[in-house]
Amino acid sequence: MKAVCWNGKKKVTVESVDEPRLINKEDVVVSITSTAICGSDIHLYDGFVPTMERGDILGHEFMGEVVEKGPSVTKLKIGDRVVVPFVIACGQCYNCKNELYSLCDNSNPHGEKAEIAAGYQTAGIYGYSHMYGGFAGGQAEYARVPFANTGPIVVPTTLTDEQVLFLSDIFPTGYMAAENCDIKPGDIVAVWGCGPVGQLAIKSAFLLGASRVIAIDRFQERLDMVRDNSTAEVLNYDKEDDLVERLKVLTGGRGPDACIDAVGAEAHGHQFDAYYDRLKTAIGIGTDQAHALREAIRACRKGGNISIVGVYVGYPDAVPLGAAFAKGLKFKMGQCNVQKYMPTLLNLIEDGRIDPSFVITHKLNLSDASHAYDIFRNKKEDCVKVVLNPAA
Amino acid sequence: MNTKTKSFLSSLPKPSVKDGDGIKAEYSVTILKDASFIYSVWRNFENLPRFMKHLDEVQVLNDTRTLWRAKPFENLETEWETEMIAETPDEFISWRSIEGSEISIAGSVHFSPAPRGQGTQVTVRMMYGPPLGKITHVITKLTKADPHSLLREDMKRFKSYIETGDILSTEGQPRGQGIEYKKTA
Repeated sequence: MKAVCWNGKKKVTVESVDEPRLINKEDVVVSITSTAICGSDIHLYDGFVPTMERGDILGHEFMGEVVEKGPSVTKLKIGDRVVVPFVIACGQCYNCKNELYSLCDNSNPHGEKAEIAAGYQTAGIYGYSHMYGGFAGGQAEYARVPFANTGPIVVPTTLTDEQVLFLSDIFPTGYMAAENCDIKPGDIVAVWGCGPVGQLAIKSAFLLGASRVIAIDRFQERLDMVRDNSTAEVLNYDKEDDLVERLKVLTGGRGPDACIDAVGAEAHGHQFDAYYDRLKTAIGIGTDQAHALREAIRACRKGGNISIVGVYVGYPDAVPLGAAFAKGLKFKMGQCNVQKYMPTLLNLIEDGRIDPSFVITHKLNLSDASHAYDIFRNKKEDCVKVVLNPAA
Repeated sequence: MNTKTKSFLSSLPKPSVKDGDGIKAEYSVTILKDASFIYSVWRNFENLPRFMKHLDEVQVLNDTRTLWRAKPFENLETEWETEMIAETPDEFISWRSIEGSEISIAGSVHFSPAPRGQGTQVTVRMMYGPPLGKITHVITKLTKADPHSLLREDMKRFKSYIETGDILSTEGQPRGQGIEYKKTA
């Protein structure tokens, strides 16, 4: 089959590889019909994530049809059309039983390094380095999906791939970002970063009762997209002298009740000093990306909520913890517990209350993955979200 | 420990790993199952190679004695006979290699309830007197097969085996070999 393989910095290639087979008893194999490139894939692409190996198959946002299943699979049958959550979770450990799927104890067979870095290992993720389990990803024609009783959700044929594909990651991730804001009626939420996750966080904040959402980015096409698809107010921070002061004016001097950082330092928690040093020396990366969190902390109202959904490296520079302390801010963050949100969000899509496909700007063939990564990485052709078709 | 196990213990010869000798390793996991179930899986010693990666076989010889075969790292195959020193059902088992074994090992496992319905804490403590003494420890550490890492890995596998009935693996999954995909006509 064909699969998108990581072959070093800025080098993804479409290769011929063996088709996956069942390995564990609760596995299924899915024939993939649609697969997307995530913003977090760009950090693999840029070579920022350690424990990647040449030949690793990328991709953690995918859906398709169940074509094979192991003897312990009870919740799926051959032929089911499913969306696969990017977080692999056993469903049996204490964390899974408490819907903290991204903290699953049993889904990362290579968690030693994560344990050294973070104290404890967390869940496995498809196509996202060996520290996250070393699982072959879903930018391919087929993928093996473990713990199939706790992962994939069956989706009705009345909905298109584009409508349901983002249940795999970015819709639940955006939704959890908004949920972590603990929104009360009348609340004003500010969102830093208007990529696909930021845009879905904006939608979710409204769904959860925010009276106003203020969207912040520097790419005009993304702000235009926000304006076209929601009632959020937009701020281009490149055109603001002092964003925090501007936000104060827009909120009666109180500041936003909650601030979502959908930018992050985006290296998926690989907390090594050496890696951090590498990141710092990379042009413009280190300072720019911590900037959103610093601003969010300064801008947030006293006693407000900070929700971090963009991923941090581990040692961001000069985080104003003093300001956060003085203002009594509350912080929530983490990888999304996808499985927890999938049924609720599928209902919202079925009821027509949201159609997450609005973020898609490009539909390409899997065999053109190299080009797709390039335009997404470099924001060419106003690229915001790419969906790949494995059949072509 | 109750009086019965105490007298059992005192009836046995001195431990094969002397106090202060050898290498200590300990690790603890919390498993979302009852102690009695976890205990019964462990107590059936022939189960141990299912989750102890470097253990090839455990053969039960009689009520207290077992024969263990292992390959702790490349080019080292070894076997040793173990005797159970003490046992408190659902709570505690301890064992050690018999005198004159190729390697000297003493170990114990405690099963105790975790708070808030989180299941059972399983804590293993091991003392190893390696076959070549401390130099082996240095070598194994360098090859990353040190007793602590091995124990950690085995305990994680044990937890997965108990909680999910399986141990998740990525062995045998596809990966790129540098063969460029070409569209067929």
